[in-house]
Formats: sequence, C-alpha cells, structure tokens
Amino acid sequence: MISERDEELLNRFIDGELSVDEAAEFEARLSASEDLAAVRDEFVQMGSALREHVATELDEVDFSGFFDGVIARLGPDEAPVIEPAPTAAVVETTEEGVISSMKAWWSNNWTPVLVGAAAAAAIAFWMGQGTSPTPVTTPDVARAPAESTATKSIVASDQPREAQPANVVVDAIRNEGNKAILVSQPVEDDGAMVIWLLDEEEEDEQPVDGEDPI
Amino acid sequence: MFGIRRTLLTSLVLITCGFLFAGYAQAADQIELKVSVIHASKAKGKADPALKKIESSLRKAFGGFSSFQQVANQADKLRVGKKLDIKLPNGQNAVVEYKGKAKKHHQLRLTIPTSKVAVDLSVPSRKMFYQAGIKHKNGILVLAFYLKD
Repeated sequence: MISERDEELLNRFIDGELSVDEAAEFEARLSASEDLAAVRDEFVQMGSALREHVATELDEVDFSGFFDGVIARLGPDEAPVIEPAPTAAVVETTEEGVISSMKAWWSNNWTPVLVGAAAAAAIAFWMGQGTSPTPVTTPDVARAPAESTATKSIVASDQPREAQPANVVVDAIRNEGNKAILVSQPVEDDGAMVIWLLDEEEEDEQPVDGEDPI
Repeated sequence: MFGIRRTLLTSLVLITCGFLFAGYAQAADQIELKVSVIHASKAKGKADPALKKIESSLRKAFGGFSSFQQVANQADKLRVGKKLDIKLPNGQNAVVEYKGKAKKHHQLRLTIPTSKVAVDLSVPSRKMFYQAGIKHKNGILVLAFYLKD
C-alpha cells in the first residue's frame, strides 16, 4: 500500500512528466521500496494490457460501410452534394449578380449612408458658406454708368476685359463723395494699373457769349 | 446593436470627409495680400531702399514724382469676407475686402471711407496695382497692392 502522493508521483513517472531531478529522486525511492516497485510493475502491466485490448477491439470493427450508412440514414434530400471548389478562372459574376448584390447592400445600409451623407453635406455647406464669390452689387460704371453714384469716374482703357486676363480689372466703381476717380491701365505688359483718386478741380469759367476767352 | 454601430461609423467617416473637403475649399479660397504705403513727392531724392524691387514700376506709373518713401507696409492672409484695414499717415484709412475667386481672378473691394469711394476689382495672382492721389505733405500717397494665392 502506498500513499496518494506516491501514487500521483508514480503515475507522473510512468507518463514521463517528472522533471529530471524528480525522476532521479523517485527512481532512488523505487530501488529502496519494494512496495513502491511492486505498484509500479502493476501499473505498467495494466497500461500494456489496456493498450493491447483497444488495439484488438479496433481491428475487429469494420468501418468500410460507415459513410454509406450515414448517407443512407440521412435520405436522398439531405445528402450533401459535394462539388469541386470554384477557382478564380471559372467564377463568373454576372451583371444581374452585381446589381442584386448592390441592391442587397443598399437595403441593409441605406440608413447609415443617407444619415452620414446628410451630415457631411450639412457640414460642408456650413463651412463652405462665404467661400464662393459674393456677387458685386454696386453699379458697374465701367460698363454701365450709374447716374446716382458715380461722378467723374473714368476708366482709361479701350480694351475689352476679356482681352486682358492677366491684368487687374475694375469691375465696378461706387463714388458718393466729391473725388474724381481715374483708372489708368498700363500700356506695357509689365506695367501696373493705377486707381487715381483726385480732388475735383473747379470748373473753368466759361467765357461770356461773344467774349474772347483769351 | 450592430446596426447602430454601423450607422455611427458610416456617419463618422462621411463627416470626416465633409470636414476635409470643406477645409480644402477654405484653404483654396485664401490669399496673402501685401500692401505698401508710399509717400510720393516731387522733391529731389532717391527711392526708399525698401522699394528697390518696385522702383522702376513706380517711376513708370508716377512719372511726375521723383521721391518715393515707404511710410508703412503690412501683410495679411485673407479669407472670403475678411477685411484688411490699412492705416494711412494722414489719419484716413483704406479697407480691402476679399470677396472670393472667380476663374483665375480674385475679387477685391477697395474702399476709402473718408472719400466715400469703393472700387471692385478682379485681380490675378502676383500682379501689382496701385491706388494713388490722396494728398499728403506736398505729395501724394501711393498704396501698392500685391496678392498671391
């Protein structure tokens, strides 16, 4: 009779689970204790007998009709149809398949897509406000003089706007003061436009009818 | 549970895209405007060394003047709707408002409040122009403008 601790160590020893030091120590105890050695022999014999018995039982079982038997029990409708795995060369995606896939995806995801798109559009609109050019609302006296606002404003250029895309262009002038505005466009390409703001000069005295001016 | 998570995730992605797009649009509609305030007079004298780069342009545009001295200069980055206030040495001021970009031209409005004058301009990038004529100390004030994207 051996203790539970020794039985456990013996099982681990037979299974080869003891460390080198533990195994050496246990072997020393096996040499010293006849009871322990007897139990060891008993365990070894039991293990050998068990393995032989299982092997014999397995040899006697016939597995040749096992798969057919399972198929027969499932019935013809439930029998799996085993087909070769499709390869990239034989997979064909038809247009209908793509459309149906897209429809299926859309039916599952239309809510988040619409919510997200609406939010993104709102943010883009909010942040983009004011980024587009504001239309000029002042009267464009360079093209259509406005009587009420522009006084003595002269654009000194005979060239149409489209002909001078690389130059500064006056789009509109609003003059509500007593200054005269003169815009001089450069003759040379490398020249610069000047917007003159001039004090109104007193009008020359007109000669009385019949009087010589000088 | 998964539906809510998917909705939130998709929304987050699209919102991020919206922010990026709007940020790009904002950056695209920004200009850098430089302004130099110059006193031009008929007194004999050389041009200010600070105006060396534009001296020939000044002499071509303002042939009747021989002396050009920079009084002040300033630069600022303008987004649409933002204004640059330019202090003039005579106590007046000029205001430039950036109104956006149309094709290749930037839209500016130059206002001189004291004179009750406003001029709308289409200005290509890197093209200088002047405003001149305000009298100051036996001469005139010249505002030189230069903008770039």
